[in-house]
Amino acid sequence: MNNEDLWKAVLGEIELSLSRPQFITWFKDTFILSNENGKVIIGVPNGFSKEWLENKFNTNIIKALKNFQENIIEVSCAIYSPQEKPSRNIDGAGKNTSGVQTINLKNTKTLTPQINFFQNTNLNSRYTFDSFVIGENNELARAACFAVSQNPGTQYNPLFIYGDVGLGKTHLLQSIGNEILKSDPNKNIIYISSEGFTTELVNSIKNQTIDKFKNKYQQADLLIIDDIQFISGKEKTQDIFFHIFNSLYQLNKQIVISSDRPPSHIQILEDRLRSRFEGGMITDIGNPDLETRLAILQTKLNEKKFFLNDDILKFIAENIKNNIRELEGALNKLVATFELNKKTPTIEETKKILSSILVSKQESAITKKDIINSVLGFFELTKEDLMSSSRKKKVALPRQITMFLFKRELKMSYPEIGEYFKRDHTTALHAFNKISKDIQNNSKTSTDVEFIFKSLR
Amino acid sequence: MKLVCTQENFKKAISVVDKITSKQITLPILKNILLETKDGRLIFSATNLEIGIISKIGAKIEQEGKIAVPSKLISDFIINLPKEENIEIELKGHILNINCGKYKAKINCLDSEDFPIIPERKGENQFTITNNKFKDVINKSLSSVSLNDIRVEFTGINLSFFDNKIYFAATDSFRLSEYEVEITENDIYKEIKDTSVIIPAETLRELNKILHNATEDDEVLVTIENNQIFFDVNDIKIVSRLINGKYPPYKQIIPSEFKSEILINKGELLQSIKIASVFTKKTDGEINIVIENDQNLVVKSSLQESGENQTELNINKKGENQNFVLNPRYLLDGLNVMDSFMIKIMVNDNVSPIVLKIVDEKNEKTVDNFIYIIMPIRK
Repeated sequence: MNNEDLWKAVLGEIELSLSRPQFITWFKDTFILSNENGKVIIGVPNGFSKEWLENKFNTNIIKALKNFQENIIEVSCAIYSPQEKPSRNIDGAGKNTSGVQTINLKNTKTLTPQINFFQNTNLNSRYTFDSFVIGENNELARAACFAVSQNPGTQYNPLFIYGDVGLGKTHLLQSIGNEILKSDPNKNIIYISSEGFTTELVNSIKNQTIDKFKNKYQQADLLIIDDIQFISGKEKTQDIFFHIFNSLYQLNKQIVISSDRPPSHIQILEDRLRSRFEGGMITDIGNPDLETRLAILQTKLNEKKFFLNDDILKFIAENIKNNIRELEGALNKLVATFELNKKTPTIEETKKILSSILVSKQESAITKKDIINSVLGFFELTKEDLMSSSRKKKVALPRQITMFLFKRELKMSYPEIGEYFKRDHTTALHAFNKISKDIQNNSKTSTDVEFIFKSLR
Repeated sequence: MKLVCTQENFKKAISVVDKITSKQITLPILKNILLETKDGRLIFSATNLEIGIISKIGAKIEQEGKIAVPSKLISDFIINLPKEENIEIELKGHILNINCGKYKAKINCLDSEDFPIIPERKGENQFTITNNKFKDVINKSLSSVSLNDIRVEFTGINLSFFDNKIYFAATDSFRLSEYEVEITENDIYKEIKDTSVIIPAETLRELNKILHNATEDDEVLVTIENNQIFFDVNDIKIVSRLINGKYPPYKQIIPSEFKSEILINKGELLQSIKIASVFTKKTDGEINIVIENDQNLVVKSSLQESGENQTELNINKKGENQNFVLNPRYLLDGLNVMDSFMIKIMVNDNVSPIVLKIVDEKNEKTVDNFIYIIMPIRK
């Protein structure tokens, strides 16, 4: 039994003999600092706890400890200094003072100036434009981001980037921040996920510091919000964000937003926000093609100073298509395994090592039910509507899309589809042709279909 | 427990400890004070588990004992008793009988066993500072402390010990004050030399009240050990936790050279800033200070919906002309604690920190042990 478990067990026992408030008051934030030769030292957060545990509770603690470890002779308390607690490391090895502290004098344009002792931007310095691999899929997005970093607030404001998970949105977003910081370290940059934004807002409402909260964001020179789609349905957050957005926009401060879908597809988003998102530059990041994936793998390998032959890289790139993060994960796994075994990998070994990743990646077969559910979910219809004989556009279009997907994805025959919907096979044929044409003409239907299709996977 | 003491002494002691009795209801015992007899003295203790205060008074003890008494109840009762009378106190079971001439009371008490033990210092005092000086330090520093606890380090005053000096620093990141106190170096002081601690502002507020009731030349013994700080003043002891955290290296932001130095009458400036702040927004107000020659300074403020204001003051300036914008609240906070006829304002430009210092009336030199710094608003 290690010290942590031992102390948990002891606390469990002591808790029974005390009232809840007493237990919390005296035993909160305590832990075993050391346990040697039957002498136990308990770390306590303050002098009051020390006195109390040593003088009033000593015998109880010894008794409880003895139940689990028989050789207990004495128990004493020590007040731990703040540095020791987080790591629970008392060998002194964990005594890291929280990062490098720099002082930055800071005054913003109109609001109260602040002495900024720490640059706290949440930016990860690893993400820069230099380390971003450009491919056909992300060329435009990267160019837009780079332009923004050179002329923040003037060129594309707001900048809206969307794309699937793991394609490099966060990398681009943070690159903008890092690039701007590079040229002017005094710029006030805030990078936050919309989830973090909401949490902070909720806290500020609770603590009645909503003005402080607004102030903080309104002072930003660059505001980056990641994964904005989570704002969907949160009215108050949208409301506050709207005001912050407006005041920043008026001051010509750059706003950058990312999402996994275009603004028009974020559900339950207030129209005034949607229209604002659409008012700037919208760009998407698509799936990387094989060459880009290979290039990414090469870059990552160079970072890791590791060598793999082209066949292996090609194998990885061919098998992991949709997510760069998974690409990197596979590479990491490979590198780690071979560093451990200290030998050069062969293609067969690679297949074996990556088999677990690849298996879970194999696209599970799409069923009719999946397609129907996605369509219903997207258009907010019921199955009865879809199967009914109604020819209203509201129902007819989703039905046609369903038929189209049945044909394209499940390779069902027209008579089969017709039978499923209790219709003639020519209806199915017409539906397929119509949607195919729509897609070619790149109408709104095309994005809808792609979106439904994506949600299938 | 049985004893007799004067109403005056009792009142004095209870008013010292009463204020920190906790309002929190999770641990009801904290709403009590502990009365205890020891070595012919009556001892009062109270704590909210962040600060503990112990106060001792003389009393004629007939029988030893200790008990936890509801703080508000007993202090409300005792304070209203006539001054001249003696108070007789006797404990019977858990009921405290108090007799004072015509007035009698019985107070239901709690078991003293449940009362927290207030930590006492083990080592000797590590430094002493006179009451008068300490009061001045606290008064001048407290207004710069942050009221917002987002950054806990800023909710206290930072003490750093270097050479034979203590630097008291306070900031809320908009302005900063630093007070330098020389102390006589002794052997025990060496233990804390080159270290620093942050004392919660709340503790210093309590200490300040106690210091106000002590005589000017009384010495305060300060001990730092085990992440706690102890103050001993006469018969009163205070113990407090320290704030966990690292104070930012603020020294770097204090400019060492200035392009302009302005000597100005503090009273006049204070008045003009008060007037100017009428014409600013309540929060985040802005006043503009313009110096275009060596003799005059103009304070301007305007508010679109209300109007504008302008005051001209006589100054004595050396160096370049200046034009900067400040939040009047921070300037007022600084001026209010500067207790001199003249002050000196030192400026580099409209974006660098602005430094305020007190000027000695006799020799017209700046007093360098206290500085107050404000960040200007960049326009």
